[in-house]
Amino acid sequence: MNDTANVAIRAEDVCKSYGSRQAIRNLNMAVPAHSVTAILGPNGAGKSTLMRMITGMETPDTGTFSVLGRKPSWELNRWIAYLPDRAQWYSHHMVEHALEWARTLQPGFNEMRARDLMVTLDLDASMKVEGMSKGEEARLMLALCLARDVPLLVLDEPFSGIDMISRERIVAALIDSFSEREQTVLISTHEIAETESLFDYAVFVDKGVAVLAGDVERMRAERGSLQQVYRQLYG
Amino acid sequence: MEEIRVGGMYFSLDLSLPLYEQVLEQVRSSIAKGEIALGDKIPSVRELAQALKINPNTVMRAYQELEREQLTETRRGQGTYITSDIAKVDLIRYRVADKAIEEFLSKMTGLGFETPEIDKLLRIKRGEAHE
Amino acid sequence: MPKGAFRYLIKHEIIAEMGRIRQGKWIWFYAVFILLLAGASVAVWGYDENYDPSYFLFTAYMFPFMIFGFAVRTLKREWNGGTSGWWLTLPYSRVLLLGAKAIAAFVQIVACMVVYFAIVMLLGVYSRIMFGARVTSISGLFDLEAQLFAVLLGIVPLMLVIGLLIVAVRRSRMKWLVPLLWIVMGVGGNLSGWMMTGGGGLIIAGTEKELALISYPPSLWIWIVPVWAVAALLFAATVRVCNKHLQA
Repeated sequence: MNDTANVAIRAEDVCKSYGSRQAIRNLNMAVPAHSVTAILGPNGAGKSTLMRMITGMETPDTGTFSVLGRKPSWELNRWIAYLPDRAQWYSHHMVEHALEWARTLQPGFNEMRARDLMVTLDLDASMKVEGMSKGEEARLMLALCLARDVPLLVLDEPFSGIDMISRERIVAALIDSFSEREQTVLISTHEIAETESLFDYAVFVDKGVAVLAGDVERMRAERGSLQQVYRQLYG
Repeated sequence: MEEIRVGGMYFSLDLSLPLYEQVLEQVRSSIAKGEIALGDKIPSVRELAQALKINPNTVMRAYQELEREQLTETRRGQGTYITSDIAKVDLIRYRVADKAIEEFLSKMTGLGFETPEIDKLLRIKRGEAHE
Repeated sequence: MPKGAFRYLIKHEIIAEMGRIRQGKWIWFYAVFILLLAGASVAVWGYDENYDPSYFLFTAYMFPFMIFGFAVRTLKREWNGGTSGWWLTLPYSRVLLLGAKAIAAFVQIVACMVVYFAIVMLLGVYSRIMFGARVTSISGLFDLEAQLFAVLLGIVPLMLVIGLLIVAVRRSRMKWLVPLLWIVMGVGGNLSGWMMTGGGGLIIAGTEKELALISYPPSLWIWIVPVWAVAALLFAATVRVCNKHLQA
C-alpha cells in the first residue's frame, strides 16, 4: 500500500528495546485509512508496545511513525480515542463522573452518543465504579472511547478477561459505531474466533516484527480464516 | 457459523472464505428462491451487519453490487427494497440454476460419466420423483 | 479550553484524595485522641518551669516530608489505579498535567498546616490562660507561627517536586537514579528542618522567657530564591521524563 493519502498509520523500521530485551524489531506497517484493522499475535509479541508508541506514551528507539500524517505526541491525541492495555477507571467515580471527566477533558466527546451507548451497554449513570465487575468497567471505558467523534480509535485488548455477555454487547456497539461513521479503527486482540468477522485489514505480529499483513477478505481467499492463518503462523 | 435468519433470508457464513461473496450469493439465492418476495424491504446494512456480526463494510459492498445488478433499489429515507421487476429475479434464478448445473456436470464428468448416461440417470431420477 | 481542563484536573485530584480520607473514619478518632492527649499533656507538663507551647512547633518538621508523601501519592495513584494510560494520553502538556497534581498536593498541605497551626494556637491560648506570663504571649506565638509558615511555604515546593520526580523516574528508563533521589529527599528534608529552626536551634533569649524567635533579618529570606529555582528545575526535569523517558 503505497498511497500515502490513504494510510492512517505508517510505521517504518521501528525498533524498541527495554534493556536487553528487544520488544519491536524493524517493524513495518501501513494501516489503511477508514479500515477496521486487527493487530494479532500472542502475548509478548509487541502489540501493546506498538499501540503505546502510536499514542505517544513511548517513543521508538529508531524508525518513524506517522499517525494521521503526523508524529505521535500528546497534541495528536486530541484526534485519537485510546483504550489502554489493562486499563481501569477511577474508583472514586460514578458513571456520571466518568462522563463529566470525558466531557471536560477529551476533545470530540459527544455526550448524546455517550448516553446512547450507556443504554446499549447496559450502564446506569448512578453506578459506582468501585462496585463494578470487570465486564461493566470494560463497557464503561469502551463507551467513553466510542463516544468521541475522532478520526482514529485505538483499542488495546478490549475483550481481554471480559465475560461473554459483555463481549457481545461490545461487539454490537462496535458494529453500530462502524455503521455510523468513517473512522480508522485499530484493535489488538487474541480473541480471534469471536472478532475476526469485524476486520477489514489484519497485521500479524510475532516477536516484534510484522510477519503478515493485508486485506482480510483477500487472506480468506488465499489462506483461509484468520483463525486458521493464526495457527499457521504461530503453530 | 451457524445458520442465521434475517428478515426472511437465511445466511450461513464460512469464515475461511471471503464473506462479501457469500453475503452477495446468499442474498441473491434468497431472492431467487422467493424467500423474500418482490418489492419486499430487506434489512438495512447495519441491521444485517448486527445480525451476522460482521463488518458493515462487507454488507455495504454486497448491497452496492446488488444495486448495480438492479436486484435491489434504495429509496431515500426508507431503506432498501427488492426490485418489483420479475424479469430481473428470473435472470437471477437462471443464473443460480446455471451455476448449479455447471457444478453438477463438472462433478459428473469428473466421475467419468458422459452425456448419454447423465441423461439416463436424470430420467430415472425424475421418474422416481414422480412416484 | 485548557483553562477549564486545568481547573477540573485540580478538582479531580483533590476529590480523589478526599475520597480516601473520608473513607478513613479513623482519622477523626485520631484527631480527637491527639487533641485530648495534647490538652492533657499541657495540663500536666505545663507546671514544669521549662514548658512553653512554642515547643510543639518542633513537630512542624514533619511537613516537608508530608508534602513529599502527598506528591508521591498523587502521581503514583495513576499507576496503582490502572489509570496511567488515560492520564498520559490526555491531550494536554505534561506541564499542565503535573502542574494540576502539584497544585492539588500543595492545597492539601496548606490545609494541613492551617489546621496544625490553629491547634497549636489553641494550645497556646490554653497555656496562657493556665500559666499566665510564664509562657509566651499569644502575639509572640502568632509571630512564630507566621514565620514558620512562611519558611514552610518556601521549602514545600522543593519537596513536592522531588516527590513527583522520584515517581516519574522510577517508571522511566532512568530508574537507577531513584536511590540518589531518595538521598536528595533526605537531605532536603533535613535542610528544611534546619531552615525552620533558624539555622541551628530555636532561639530562646531572655530570662523572662520572652521568646526571641527565629528572627530572620529580611535579607535572609533570599534563600527562597535558589530553593524555588531548584524546584522549578526539578519540575522541568519531571516534565521531560514524562515526555520522553517513561516506560511501561
